[in-house]
Amino acid sequence: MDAPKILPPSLRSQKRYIVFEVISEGPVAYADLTSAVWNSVLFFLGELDASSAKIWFIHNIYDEKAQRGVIKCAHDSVEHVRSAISMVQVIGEAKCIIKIIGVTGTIKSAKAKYLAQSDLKNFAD
Amino acid sequence: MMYYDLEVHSSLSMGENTVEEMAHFAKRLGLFGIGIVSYFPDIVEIPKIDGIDIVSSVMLKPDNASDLNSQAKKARRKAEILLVHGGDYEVNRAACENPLIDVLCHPELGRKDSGLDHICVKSAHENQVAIQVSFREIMESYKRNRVFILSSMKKNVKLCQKYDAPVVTCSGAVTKWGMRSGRELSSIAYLLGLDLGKAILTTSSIPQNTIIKNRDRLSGRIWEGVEIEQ
Repeated sequence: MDAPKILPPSLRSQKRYIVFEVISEGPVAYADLTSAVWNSVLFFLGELDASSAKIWFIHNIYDEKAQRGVIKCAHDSVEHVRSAISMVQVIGEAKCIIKIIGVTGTIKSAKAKYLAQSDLKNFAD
Repeated sequence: MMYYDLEVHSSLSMGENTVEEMAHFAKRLGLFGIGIVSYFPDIVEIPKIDGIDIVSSVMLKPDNASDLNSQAKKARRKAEILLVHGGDYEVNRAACENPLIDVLCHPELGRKDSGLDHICVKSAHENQVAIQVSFREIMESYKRNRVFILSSMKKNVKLCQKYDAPVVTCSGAVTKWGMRSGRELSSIAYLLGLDLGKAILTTSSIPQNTIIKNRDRLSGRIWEGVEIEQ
């Protein structure tokens, strides 16, 4: 065994999923977006608060066309992350605003409510 | 929730974009209304735009307290929202003591202290003058400067909570890229020390109630001591 076991649900930290949309002058690369957000979080919140915010970018559900994506964070740091994200002014070389569309408790509801990605199993319902 | 941003600069004042561009962008950000700023005495008639509430905000930039009072009397007849360019302690205090004023903008601007004391904030509560948290001031400052500004704002917000004075959060945007949605503006107020519920009110019902009250006054429904009910 080279990795610790997964914690039981009661011991796992609670998380929230922030669904955002990038409004920009031109198209924005995902790598530039993540580095701009990380820079903003580190500048505005500092390393200590950034560590307790437990920020994680969920790459595989980023919609490049609509420029919508999801950031995972700790449930008690949503407002901190929201304000740090609102400080982003430029991504790459394009002026932009990151607008937060909503906050959910699961990835499934984030997809269903804000990203218009429904599960095909429930398509008939 | 109806979110308002009471200080937005268009090409009519010192902004880059036209009123239409700002209004279009504000709609996209989910704002219910924006206050387009014009500087006293150049008060401009602002065109109404479908789908968004355009509010005429007038900014006073007085040199001293007596100048403020005379400007406020003249501007009040036309303005839906009366803002005061703060920063000077004498002006900050006079603005808090004047019931004609709606919002005292950035009282800590260009100062090493917070620009307000308990006497000012008590008066702001009595006269219902809102103290502004300016998003642009935070966003455009950097490193040590930003730290000083944030600590001054925290001090002002703490005083406002203690004496129950109203607080409003505005973007102060000079370009359309400087605007933010109402919920994001209120998250700044939350980080400065307000409860989440009260922080949301700083961009929703506090500005909205002020606008309704002033529109009633301008239309002649409210005079001093009298309100006509329909």
